[in-house]
Amino acid sequence: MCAIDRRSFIARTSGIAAGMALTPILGASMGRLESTVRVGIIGCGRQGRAIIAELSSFETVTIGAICDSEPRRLNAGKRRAKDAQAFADHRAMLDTGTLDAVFIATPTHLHREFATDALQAGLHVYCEAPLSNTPEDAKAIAQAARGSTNVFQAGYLARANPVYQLARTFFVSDSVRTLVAMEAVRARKTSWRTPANDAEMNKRLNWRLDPEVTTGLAGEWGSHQFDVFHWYTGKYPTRVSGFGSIRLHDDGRTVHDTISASLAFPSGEILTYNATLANSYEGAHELLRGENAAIKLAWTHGWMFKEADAPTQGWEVYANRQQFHNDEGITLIAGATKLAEQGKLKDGIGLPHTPLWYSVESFLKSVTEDAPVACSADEAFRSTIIGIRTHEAITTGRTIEIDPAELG
Amino acid sequence: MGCRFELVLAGGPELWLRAAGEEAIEEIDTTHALLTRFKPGSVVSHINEGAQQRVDGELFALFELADRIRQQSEDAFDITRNADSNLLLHQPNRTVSVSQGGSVDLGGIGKGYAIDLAIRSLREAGITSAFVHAGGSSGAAIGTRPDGSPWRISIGESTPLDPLRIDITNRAFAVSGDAQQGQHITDPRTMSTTTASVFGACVGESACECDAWATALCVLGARPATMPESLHSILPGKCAWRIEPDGCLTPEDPSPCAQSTAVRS
Repeated sequence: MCAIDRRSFIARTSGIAAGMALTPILGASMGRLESTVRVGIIGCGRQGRAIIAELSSFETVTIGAICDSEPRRLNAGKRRAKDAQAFADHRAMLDTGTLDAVFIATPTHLHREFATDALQAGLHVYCEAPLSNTPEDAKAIAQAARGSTNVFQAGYLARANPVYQLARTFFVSDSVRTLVAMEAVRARKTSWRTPANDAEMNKRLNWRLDPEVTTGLAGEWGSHQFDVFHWYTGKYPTRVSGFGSIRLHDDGRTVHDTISASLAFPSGEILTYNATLANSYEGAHELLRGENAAIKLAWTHGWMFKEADAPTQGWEVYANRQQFHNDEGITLIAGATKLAEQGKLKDGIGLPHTPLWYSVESFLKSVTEDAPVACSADEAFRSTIIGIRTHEAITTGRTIEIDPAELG
Repeated sequence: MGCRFELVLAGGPELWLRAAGEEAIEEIDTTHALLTRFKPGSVVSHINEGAQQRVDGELFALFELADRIRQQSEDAFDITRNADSNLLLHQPNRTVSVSQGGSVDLGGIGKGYAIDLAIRSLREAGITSAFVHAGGSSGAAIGTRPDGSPWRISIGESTPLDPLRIDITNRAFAVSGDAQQGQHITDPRTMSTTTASVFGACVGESACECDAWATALCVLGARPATMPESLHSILPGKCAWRIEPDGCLTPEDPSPCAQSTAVRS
């Protein structure tokens, strides 16, 4: 594990860095793959159903089976995947031997059993992120994936997101230059609860609020955003500290609804992370501040804010700009040149698909066309560990040292 | 969907009600993301860009319903946005598209669809007393109010007519009309704004169906014979109506109802 060498990256991607803004990289509206694939979904909660909806847009994908031990969720899955065979037990589903790949969208602490069983059954696996709630389980998944010849992709969505991919080319090609600081925010006003009618059901469904198994906001939300910085910089923090409290949902829970953390990188950069369930202002975004520019990323949108003394680059002539109070952001649009030729540059602001769609598409292309995996088990393992350790720092109030050896 | 959704939930601990309400709101948000024609990533945007859009079974059923209501209403309700275009549904692989040059707008049915999904989510969570509405023009109720009385809707408050009052329990409703927003209902057969009726309202089991039929009634100005018997149609007049337990719609006081039309068949 080492930081990306900026010079070697430029050499490898010569002509692409500027070209990414100029090259159409957005596909057709409906997913097209070179061969058919038959998939199963384990977990039909909110995320599982979102995956079903995205998979339904792919012409050559058949949702052959769905699985959930919760009858209500299984029924919800069946309504969306009408032709799929429904299972309450994942082993029965895997034993059918009719599937090529499975998507795992269960509670985080249950991923290990499902992922390792699916890999053992010889299936390609897409596993939601974080990989697990403990380093041991995350390591077991990563090891199983490494020992398999099948595709394993983790659901850290940024890595397959065209806006994030485009922005990364600017980042690694020196548009930002020296990285000064990193910030990320996730804010959403929600109780994070699922309605449950009895204590047993509550334990099962409200696992995110169960201190025994949750990785809290730092793991469940934060690790997705930490992964962006890991992917961009090729670096990982070695020291983490933070605080948390219950600011709004004082309903008997012990898991914080608001957290703030600092993740210190060995080269001196600090990533400041704030997340809350008590307010929704600004939603989710990541910010990389550099000597020449700042890059702000917000799922379907990205912007670059240039310093006055930063050199001008050719691609800027195509750029759309948006005003943010006193700052002007250059909109980072994937496929900008093609859109400009079509007179649709403004229409191009924002992605034509959800970030989840691109992640699913990327996985399917890895399965059917041998395309590179967007987020490997090893990469996901490292971001998972950082999420777990940050949660640990916040809940214990201690500064946690992360030994790089722990990240494999 | 360009309006505020409100949920009133009762009959349990606040913690549980809030969690159930949040799940219902997520259904509404998800539906909005799929059906909006103003964002590039939506299913409707893809269809309008000319794609043969493959959709999941549940969404395909919505497009089938929209097309069925178009046929039953003799084109008084139509999600395609110009008179010459057709909705193309391909059942075997569940693809939706529109004939060349056309586009679709689910504004006349999407709110009701979102309400139905929200109501289903609330029912599945175990909620027994709830009222959900979207911008005051479409809504649905689960059970009764906490005091056991039905949920009361007032229709036509902003029209020159006396408002109609309807009591509902486990029912959905929708109102379509011009009084509040000016002439905003387009007759899809002529693509001009309609003046057939000040408003049209519909009461039934599904907010989605009611939403579409309320628009059709407003365009037609009368109940067509092809409208399903399970739906109550309401057109302007002075009256208060009650939905009886057997589903019949009866006037509370028959005398002023001569000016109103409220029929099932």
